[in-house]
Amino acid sequence: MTGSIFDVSDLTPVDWIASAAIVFGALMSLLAGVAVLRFPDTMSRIHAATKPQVLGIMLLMLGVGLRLQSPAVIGVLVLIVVLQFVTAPVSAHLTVRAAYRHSVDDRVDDREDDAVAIEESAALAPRRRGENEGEGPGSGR
Amino acid sequence: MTLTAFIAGTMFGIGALLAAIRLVKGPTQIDRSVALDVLLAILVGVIVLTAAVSASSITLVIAVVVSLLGFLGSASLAKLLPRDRR
Repeated sequence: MTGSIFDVSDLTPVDWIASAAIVFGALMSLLAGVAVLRFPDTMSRIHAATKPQVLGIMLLMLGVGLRLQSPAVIGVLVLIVVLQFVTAPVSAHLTVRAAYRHSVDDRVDDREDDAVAIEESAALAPRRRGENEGEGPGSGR
Repeated sequence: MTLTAFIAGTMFGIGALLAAIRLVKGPTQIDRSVALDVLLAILVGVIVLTAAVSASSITLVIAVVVSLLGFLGSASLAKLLPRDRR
């Protein structure tokens, strides 16, 4: 390693694949940064933000696994990938639900909106008692 | 592998910078929470890249902890953010 950083003559084919996976995983992070800054509203930003959490992490773990190639390391990498696969959709769902509730706070008539009606039927019950007679989506709770 | 680290590190840096701009600007608190999520994912990526470049697995344990912290942070922020906007 005495030459410049552009000297790639010492890479094996497996190293090439690992490098490509790592670069694509890093590209996911770059795209997420651009999208989080440029997209117009909260929902699309959340949509873009989940890309590096699943695909980016998975590609990076593939690259590191190909580079290190020891069973203990691959165990830790699989643990990280499985944890991300389990937790990323849950946290994205929670964030989207909070954003959705915030965005529809000032809607005039949201009786058609089940997600909001379930949340708010208890709070708004006195005003709507004459309209839906307790058969709304939230009456089962 | 040094060239890979250079390219990937530049991408991570630019992505983190853009997410940090959104973190400062973000009109709603949820936008800030999303930007923090992206920053934590980039942090996991940088830690993993460190492990790949140095060919040692010590820092991978930190990546496990940081990814779990990211889930805890965004889930609790979504639960506890106040309902008033801006």
